[in-house]
Amino acid sequence: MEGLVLALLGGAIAVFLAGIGSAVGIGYAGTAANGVLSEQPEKFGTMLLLVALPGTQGIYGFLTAL
Amino acid sequence: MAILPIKKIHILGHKSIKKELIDLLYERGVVEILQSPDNTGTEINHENSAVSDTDIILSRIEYSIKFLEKYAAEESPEFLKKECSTRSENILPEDIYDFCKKKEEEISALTQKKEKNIKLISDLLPWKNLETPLNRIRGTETAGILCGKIASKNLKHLIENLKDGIAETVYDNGKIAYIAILYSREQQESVENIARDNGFSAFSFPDSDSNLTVSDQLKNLECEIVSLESLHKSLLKEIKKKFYLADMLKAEYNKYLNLKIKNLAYEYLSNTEETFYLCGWIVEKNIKRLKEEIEQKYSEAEIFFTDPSQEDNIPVFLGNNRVVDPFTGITEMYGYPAYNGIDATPLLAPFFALSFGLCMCDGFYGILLAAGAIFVIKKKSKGMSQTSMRFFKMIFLCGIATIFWGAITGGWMGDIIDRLPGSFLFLKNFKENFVINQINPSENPLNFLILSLILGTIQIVFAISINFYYQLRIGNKFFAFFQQLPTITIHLLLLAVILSIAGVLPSGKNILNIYAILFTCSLLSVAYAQWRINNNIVDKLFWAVFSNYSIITGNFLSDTLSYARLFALGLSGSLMAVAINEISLMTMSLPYYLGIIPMLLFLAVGHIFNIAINVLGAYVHTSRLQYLEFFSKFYVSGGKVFKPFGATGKYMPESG
Repeated sequence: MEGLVLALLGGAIAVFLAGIGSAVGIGYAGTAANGVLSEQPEKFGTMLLLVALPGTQGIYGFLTAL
Repeated sequence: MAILPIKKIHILGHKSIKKELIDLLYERGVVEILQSPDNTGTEINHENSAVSDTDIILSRIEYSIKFLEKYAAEESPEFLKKECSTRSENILPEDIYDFCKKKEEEISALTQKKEKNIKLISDLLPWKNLETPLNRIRGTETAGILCGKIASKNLKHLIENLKDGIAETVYDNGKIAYIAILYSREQQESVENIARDNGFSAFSFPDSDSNLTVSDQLKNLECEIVSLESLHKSLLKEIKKKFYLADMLKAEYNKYLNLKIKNLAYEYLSNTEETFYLCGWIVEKNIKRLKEEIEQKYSEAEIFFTDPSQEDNIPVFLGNNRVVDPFTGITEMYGYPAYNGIDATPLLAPFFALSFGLCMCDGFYGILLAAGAIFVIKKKSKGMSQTSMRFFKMIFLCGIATIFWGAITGGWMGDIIDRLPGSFLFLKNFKENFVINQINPSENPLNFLILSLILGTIQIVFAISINFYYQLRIGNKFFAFFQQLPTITIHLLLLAVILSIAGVLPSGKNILNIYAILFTCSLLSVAYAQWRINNNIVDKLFWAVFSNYSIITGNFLSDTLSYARLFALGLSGSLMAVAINEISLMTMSLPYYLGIIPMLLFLAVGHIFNIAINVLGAYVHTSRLQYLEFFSKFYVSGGKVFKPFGATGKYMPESG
């Protein structure tokens, strides 16, 4: 029983921390990208890449939890 | 291909047909007129030209529209509709502009006055208890009076030090005290010094000659504000009554905009005394019809076409068939492809729909999406821009894909079919016909994950294959065979090894040996390619190693794992649906079937909410997969959009 609790807790922590980190990271990148796009809208692709990069960590956290 | 070939069109003609020809091109809307080569050197002087005149009119009309809409936005649509339908008259845009300008000035004057009064009231309010009329608050020959405020904590100190005067507190709110100081004129300087040292700041009453008391003045000011406000209200009403003019203004705006476009076209031509020359872009498939029409109508014109040269910045026109076209928006959002690049639209379309469906993964939701999209397309198609039309068509196709995945995974509004009473057995049978239980997200999540990863692998290998083809097309055979081809084989070999270990593919020593040999060859080939295209030795070494590393970790691991998001969204969506059903059915335990209405309510609200967040998630994440995992492998963006010369409008007519 205790093992299961620990396992679930571990999973939950993995999702939570990774999710929080991703959210914060995307926030930073998004703010910056917004600024760039207002001046150079044609850089959408590059900016999207930079904004989405921190999101990857969230997915990894999710997978780890599984 | 989906990027349609474009040619350069040249028209030479006699000036007598110039206007007619421009009108014709404007009507057809298939040519993008370029500034003529011998015109480009000289800066076009817009001043005093027809273009700058229309610019002024356009900006004035736009101002009027914005002004009217700003105030109309505060009113209910019914009121405006009534106002609009009861009036119709002919007013020039110029007059409306003057009207708006005047009203704006009046409003701003009113607001300023009101603000001034409010400020005055807040200044005077602390002195309310002063019962003396203002014109009597002034010194005599021998005595002076000082009114002002001081920090409450300094007040005591001031009174103690003030030997030559008397301080009277009018009002003290605990922080600031409002006081009047009486003093003898002879001691004026010393009193003022003491007051200043204690942080006293003097206040002089506005309108100090008035014979009213402060409280009377306050009353007057408040009365004035009330009358200003009613004035303001009637002004607003007057403006709102003119709202019906906005529609007319929009039509006028479009008219002038098109006039401007035509005038611009004239300025792009180059002229001699008797002839003119026009140069522009045209999509190849439109050439035949235009050429025939012009040659038939005007014998005074010579028309011919040339291939664009290398230096030209050729515009891009995307043409796709009806099924794929709705996905053009996805490509456009990323940026147009370069003219010699590849249009990703037809390539991403099936993957986009499938990924979207996998995220939603519920047949019933799919039906709702598709039906909703059809409804919007049929009902609102009038006046809808091409972009939103495409969007809804795309949603329809994605809805179909959602039904497909929903049927396979057995998701119909979550697990609602399993919860229905026995009389709905036919629905259950219907469901069982399609379902593959091994990939049900809530029962077999791992298989569902593998399904999304398979979809990802297919798309990634497909993307690299496109780049292989692209490199061949632009004549870069070396890069195609030594970099792209081995990238594909590395990918497939790693996959084969995994499948062998999992027992899906036969594994044996011989087979694994073959894998190992092929794998090594591929790695070496990539390393060789990088070695050759880089110049100095450090770069050569670094890229030879790093390129292989990034193929394995980047392409194979990271990009494929990114498709796990499809699984995550699909799983969370279907679990949410199940949870909503569970909660809703709890109400059925109420006696006498009282629970039916709350149950239906819960079901409706819950599932609509679930659809809303799932559609958002599915759209965002599917787009992201296309942009980051798919486009990054082969897509070359940076194309210029083909903008044909023709009728256009900023304000689209509202659908009736």
